[in-house]
Amino acid sequence: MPSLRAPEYTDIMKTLLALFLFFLFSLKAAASSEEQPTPAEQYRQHRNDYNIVSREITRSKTVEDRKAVARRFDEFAKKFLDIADKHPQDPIALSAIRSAVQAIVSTDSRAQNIAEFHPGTMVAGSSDGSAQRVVKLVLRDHLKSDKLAPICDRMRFSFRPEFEPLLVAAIKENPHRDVHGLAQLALAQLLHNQLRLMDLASDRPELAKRYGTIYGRGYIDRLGRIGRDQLVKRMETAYEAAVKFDDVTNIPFKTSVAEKAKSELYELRHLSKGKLAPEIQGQDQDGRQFKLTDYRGKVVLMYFWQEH
Amino acid sequence: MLGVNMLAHTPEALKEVMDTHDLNWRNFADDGSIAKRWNSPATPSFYIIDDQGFIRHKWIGHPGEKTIEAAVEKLLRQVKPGK
Repeated sequence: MPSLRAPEYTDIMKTLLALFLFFLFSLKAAASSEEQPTPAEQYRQHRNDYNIVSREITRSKTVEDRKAVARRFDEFAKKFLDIADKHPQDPIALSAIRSAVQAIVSTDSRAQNIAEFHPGTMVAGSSDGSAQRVVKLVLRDHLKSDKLAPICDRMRFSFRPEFEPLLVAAIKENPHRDVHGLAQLALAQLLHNQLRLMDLASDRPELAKRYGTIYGRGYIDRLGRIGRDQLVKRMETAYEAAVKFDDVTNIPFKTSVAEKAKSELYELRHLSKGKLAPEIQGQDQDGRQFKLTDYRGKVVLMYFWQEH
Repeated sequence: MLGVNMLAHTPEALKEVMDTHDLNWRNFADDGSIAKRWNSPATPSFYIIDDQGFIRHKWIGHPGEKTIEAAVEKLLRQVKPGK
């Protein structure tokens, strides 16, 4: 049997070796890209997980379950902010910050709900650092961005004074009208929310301490030091400034910033304790026309409801 | 008690809801203008208006039956007789 001549053997070996090495490199390259997903991919993964957790909370039956889920929202805020911090130039950074604000607001409102309706349970809001981190990142990387509006919009539902410097800076320095309008409305609503808690805590003093565990110790005291009149004044000024923006729409509900601001001002000025109730006219369930003032001389309980 | 149902916009729709749930207080059929005027209150929301037309209590969310009853009782005691 003829033996393989040395050159042929070497060629085959070389080819095999080359193929083998190529295969190894391909595997490594594939593994590398799996280890380093793009910021957008990371964001989408967290977002996905976040949505799953959101759905879980509607299924949780006990207060303890809800608390556990609320803690997980808090972890998401950190993860979203890490992406925005490491990749400020990537367009996904703004979405990540917006999602962080959403997670913070969700954590806080779950905690607040538990505090108000389940007196025996300890509650914790979003980690103190997260809200401040949002402000730091926006001021550092995105203050003049034309895509800041959704982030400002999310802050309408918050109770955290930490967000105020961001909104004030956006109003002052962001050149885009929609950002300006939404920041103005958000500032007004943020102040309004703080006022609501202040009033709730004065009706129910045990709540003051609980709001402290959610929003930071002394939360209600600090509002008290600012003074209710001052808060009301700042809030009204912010709403009045927002009334100018009839060309900017609210993000989820598509009503204009101006309309929402006007509605809130109307409620503040006409639908609060001590004010004369506005007239209501309409038909009842039998088609008979009647008015609220038909009941002058009687004590009336007005009940706004919808069936479940 | 006077109610405003936030979803039934006509007297017919309102009557149907009330019959379904066996409700018996008087309600305004709201085509949306009442809710809008009152700044789209979250449901349930309650206002107590005294005999002279002034808002004396306001609750967004249910404050509990006892709270409402106590507030109404107190105001009833203040109603001027003969009205």
